[in-house]
Amino acid sequence: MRHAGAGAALAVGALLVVSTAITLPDSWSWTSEQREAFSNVDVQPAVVFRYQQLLPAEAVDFVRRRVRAKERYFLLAGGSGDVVLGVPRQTAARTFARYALLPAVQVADVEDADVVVAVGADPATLGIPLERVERDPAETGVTVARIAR
Amino acid sequence: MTRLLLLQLLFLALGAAALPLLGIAPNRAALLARLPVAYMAGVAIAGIVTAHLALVGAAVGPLELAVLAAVVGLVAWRRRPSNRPLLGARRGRPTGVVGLLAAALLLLALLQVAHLTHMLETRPLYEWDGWAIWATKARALYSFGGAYEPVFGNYPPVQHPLFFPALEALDFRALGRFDGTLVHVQLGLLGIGFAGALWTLLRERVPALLASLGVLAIVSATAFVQQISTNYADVPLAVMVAVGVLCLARWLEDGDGSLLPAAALFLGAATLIKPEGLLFAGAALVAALATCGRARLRGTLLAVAAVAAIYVPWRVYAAVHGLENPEYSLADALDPGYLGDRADRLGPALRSVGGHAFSLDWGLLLPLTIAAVGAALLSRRRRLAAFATVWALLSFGGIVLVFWISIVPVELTLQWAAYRTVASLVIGAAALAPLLAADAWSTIRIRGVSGGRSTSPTSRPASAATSSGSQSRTIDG
Repeated sequence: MRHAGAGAALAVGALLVVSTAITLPDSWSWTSEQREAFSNVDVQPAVVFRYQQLLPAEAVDFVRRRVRAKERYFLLAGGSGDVVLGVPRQTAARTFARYALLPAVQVADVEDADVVVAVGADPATLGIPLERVERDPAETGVTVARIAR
Repeated sequence: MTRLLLLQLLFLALGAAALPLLGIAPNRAALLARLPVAYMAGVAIAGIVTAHLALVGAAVGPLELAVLAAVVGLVAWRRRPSNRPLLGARRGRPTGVVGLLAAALLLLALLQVAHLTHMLETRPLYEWDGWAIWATKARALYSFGGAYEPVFGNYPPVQHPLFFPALEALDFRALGRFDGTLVHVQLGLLGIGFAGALWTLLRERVPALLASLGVLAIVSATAFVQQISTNYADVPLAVMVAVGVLCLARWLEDGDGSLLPAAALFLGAATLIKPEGLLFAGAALVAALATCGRARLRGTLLAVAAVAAIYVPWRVYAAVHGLENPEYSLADALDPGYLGDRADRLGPALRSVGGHAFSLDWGLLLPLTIAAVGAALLSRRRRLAAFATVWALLSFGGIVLVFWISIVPVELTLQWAAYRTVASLVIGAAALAPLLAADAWSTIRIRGVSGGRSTSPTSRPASAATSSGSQSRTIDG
């Protein structure tokens, strides 16, 4: 019994060594490559690689200057197709805006909103009364429209 | 960056102050010996307190944390130190070649996590859930000072508890700004803290070489390294689960009551990180109740009550605000008709979860844990083997069940989540492996190795370590 136990323990030790031998070189080199890839990139703290195209940094600044903290906005997104597996572009744009436009608050229904933020879409298509419609002069395709009350 | 590092010192101070108060380190010697656990304990306490206070709109920053650490430290200092010995802390300092090897392997493990942390300093938010869920919620907590209802009642997934974003919001308050890049450093530091805590808790009962090998195998796993870099909560959850499960196993095996509060603390923190945290913590507590025996029943029930007490405020908040999981309801798991209608999901779920758990991205962590269960059985550590097996099977079954009852198309949900949901299972199981194999390991003798007298006679079985002659010795390190 003791020999069998010692054998099993030796097997555990051997498997620990083999496991580390399998993963450590890959983990180390992956980490080094990531460091190399990102260390020369001038990263703004709030920028998200790969998805920033959904709402460019200039567009975020444009909206932030017009929508105050805790103000409620409805995001109208145009475009079609999936951005990533199973996530349609419109859903992706809404999701990204939730992150990027904080501390403004996104709402699901336009009836609850103070402002419409349109990305690649025309806010007039919502068929609600709007006032002060401002289109981003940087031609990011973003429009901010205040809902008339 | 300096501010972020100073915050980590606050976590360490809070944990060091709390260890005596919780009975985890009943005296100064124990506090020194278990100091590496203090950082993880501090993170857990800070996360729990910050997450709960966020529910009532109260923000916690470094100042509040410093006051909390000072108050806890003062209370701990005024209490008389206990003379109760630590039942597990029996091993001496490793010596000789094996000791050097153990030290080198531990150093390599820490170097690996330090290398990772150095990289994370430059890594921006990149993966979907990293920014879409976790950074968004952390940023909202930082911006609003608490769980502002229009955000936390509506931004999906509303069912996620707040420990992880609350911890990151604390980082932002320390930094004085939102920073989606530097926040990754917190994850790397958590990895370092995990390595230190795991080694410390293992080393009290496990030969140093085995403990070091175990820690190195976990922190060098490709999946560990890559997933912790994503700002997803799965690896932070996994490290809390792993340390909690290990403390619980030590309580069951040694009857070391000083680790019971630690188990409750870490498992309680796990319930507040992700909904699956409740699954893994619940599985651990059920496994403990099933294997604890009459002598340890009261202590185990106290741990169950403590974990429940940590979890309840979030559950109350979720109930009051109607925050439900839109993807599945656990009640469906009890409905045979519902399960039968979705039986076609079971096969893919089993294959995918099993495949990811045994993926080489985790190295051989699960196969070696199975071997370790065998070693525990052969060295008559049946209670420990039973606990590990029941916990792992319940956890595995729970993961599969969640994919089975989910309403999300099975191929999508498996592709999105299966590879990372297994992190707690794999890391938790691997954390137990050295403990499972420890007694059997102590019976191994190497012929022809001389010198480097072992100063650490093992506690059990005593015969294994004390009979070494000049030509043979145990591999204790």
